[in-house]
Amino acid sequence: MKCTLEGSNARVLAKAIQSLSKVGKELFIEADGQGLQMRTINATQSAVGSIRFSRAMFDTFQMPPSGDCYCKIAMKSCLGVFRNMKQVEHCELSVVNNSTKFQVKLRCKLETTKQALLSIVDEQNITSAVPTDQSVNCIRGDFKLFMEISNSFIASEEELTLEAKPDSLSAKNYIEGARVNDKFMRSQLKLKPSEFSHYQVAQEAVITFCIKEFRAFLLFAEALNAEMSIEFDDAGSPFLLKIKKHAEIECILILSTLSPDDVSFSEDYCQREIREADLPSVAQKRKSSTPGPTVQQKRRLAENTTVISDEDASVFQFREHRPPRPSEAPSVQPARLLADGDTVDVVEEEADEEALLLAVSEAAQASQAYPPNSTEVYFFETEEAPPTVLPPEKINDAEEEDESIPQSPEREQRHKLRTIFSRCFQNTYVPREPSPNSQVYAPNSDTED
Amino acid sequence: MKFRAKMQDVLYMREFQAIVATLAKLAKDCVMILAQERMHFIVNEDHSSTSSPLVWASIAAKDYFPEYKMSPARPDHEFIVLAMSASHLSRSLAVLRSGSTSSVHSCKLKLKMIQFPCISVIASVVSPSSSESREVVHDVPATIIPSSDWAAYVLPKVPRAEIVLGLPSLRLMRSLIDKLKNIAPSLVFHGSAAGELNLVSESDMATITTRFSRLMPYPATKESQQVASCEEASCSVDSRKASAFFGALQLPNEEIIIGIDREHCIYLQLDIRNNVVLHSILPAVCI
Repeated sequence: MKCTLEGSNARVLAKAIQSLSKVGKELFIEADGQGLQMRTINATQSAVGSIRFSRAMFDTFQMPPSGDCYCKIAMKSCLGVFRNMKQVEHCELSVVNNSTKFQVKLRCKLETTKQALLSIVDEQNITSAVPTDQSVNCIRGDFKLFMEISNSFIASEEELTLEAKPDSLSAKNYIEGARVNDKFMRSQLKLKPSEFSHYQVAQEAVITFCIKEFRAFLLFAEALNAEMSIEFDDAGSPFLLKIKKHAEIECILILSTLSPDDVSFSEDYCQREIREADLPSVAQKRKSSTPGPTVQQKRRLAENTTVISDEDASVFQFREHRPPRPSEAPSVQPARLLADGDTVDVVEEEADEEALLLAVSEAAQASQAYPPNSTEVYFFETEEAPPTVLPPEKINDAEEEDESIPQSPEREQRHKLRTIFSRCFQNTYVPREPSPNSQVYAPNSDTED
Repeated sequence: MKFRAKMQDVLYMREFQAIVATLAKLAKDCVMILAQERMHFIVNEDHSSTSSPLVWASIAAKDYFPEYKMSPARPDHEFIVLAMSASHLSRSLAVLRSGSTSSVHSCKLKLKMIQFPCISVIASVVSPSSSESREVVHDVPATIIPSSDWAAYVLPKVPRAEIVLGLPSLRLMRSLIDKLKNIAPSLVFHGSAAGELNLVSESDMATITTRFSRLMPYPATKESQQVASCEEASCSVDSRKASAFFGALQLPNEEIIIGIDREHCIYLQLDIRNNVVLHSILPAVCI
């Protein structure tokens, strides 16, 4: 792949990279017949940004003979290359060295040439399976208007909530009734539909999304001096931000929105119970599979000593009660696994990884469902006399009835079984390391852990 | 307990914003005292801050707010006393300042109860891009101070001074004191009845004296016992506090009145307009 751009177009490209750098740490570049596309995904995988430059932007555009060309490079190094673009008159992008390096040649004023080789991390690409043209609600307006909305909130704000009604739009930094911190200043901006150039809200919706990525793309809209449109359906379904400029540049940012049954996680982040209707056993108390520090030590202890009371319940009973883990789980499940509890756009890579993990966990569970093999450790508590000992005693009692020694009250018969690492054998367990990207919302209270 | 007020004049709104912004620069929290006719703000009322001085502002409510309704919790109470974050309040009023990009129709302040008490600042803004106004609402969380604790939030008294002078050029004073604070931890204000003020900053290496002459003398508010006719007075104050006060001033006023109470305190007064005054007291320090 090789393409060249003129200076001013290269500056636009640089702006695009700057905006994308505020979203994710890796840049995915894809060249196809229509042009060049740059994408990024954020750490919590709740936002995917993509910017497409059509072929008309480029002076020359050569595709490799094999067809599509895509690569992944580190954002940080790329950002460094495109930092000072004022002097640039001509820019050449190419993939060299047997597709291991991404080369950027910048020809500046005074016959200076800057050349950078960025190593290609992977030949990887991301796509989003979110339909981008079916949203019910669409609001379009000048970037300045969205800028004013964004500027009404402090820079450290994390989320923005939009309440769209057919006759008004209000932007808030809080969810009605959710946040209770009494040091928190609530702000809201109420706008009239007439301020927007296009305002179509067919279905009332209250959506909450991350403002950081929104601002990143707003910055790009400002650089392009273009109109911006936002499209969304309802809480929980993706929020789209689109910028279009002369059919040459097309940007789309897909943001996940807070699902309506999730509370605001910035204040109220707590473990969530995934409720399922028919779970009979105490031992099956489930908790969210969030691999985070919020897992409480206390709870774990309680579970370790849980008595499995009904006798015929097998030791490892998850097989029967295992809720069907649907094959489409990746589309829902990653949301739970992510620390911020957001829903996520389905991304191929993530889905694959998730499917793999699920397969592993399933395999692990399957092997555990059969009679325990030698690798498993379990104890019978020795103080607790097994029931088989009792019948002979009863016979003795019958024989020595004359003596009428009152029989000591029988101990309640129950099997006490203690397992080590009991949580590992629960069907909620997904063998997954806590992701390094997961945000720690509260420090672990137990220092031993 | 009820409070609501409405501003309509753009200039007054900007001035109100400037007063609050000044306070926000001086301290994290401020106390708002709402009386029937006046509105007061106090920052650093407990002298806890080491680097910023006690400042209070008194506003004639009717000037700023054509509509001003205050009813205390009980009929025998005089005030509503609220503590809130100064920066939040300043942030919520920031929209009033942006005069060039958008014009503000009106700004309402309301005491509301939404999970916790807060002052709602509701500004109706007209942006240049559209004809219709939009509403910007900020709910600044506030703590209601019960009447039993009011004793701690009494407005400070204006101290009497032996020498009172009108200071010139605020900008000059600001940059001067900002530089002098790096020379020595204390700064001596030495004034004379003849309209002369010397600012002395003394370090091991140097003594820097800045002399202002032909200042406007005001009648002294305190009779000196020592000398029959008090000609001179000096007071040494913490230079960081002085710098913090001058650095925080966001108001465009050029003149400021300084009162020097010998070995007691420096008193600064900024007359924003009739009945709207910003005061500050810088206590004396031992050299």
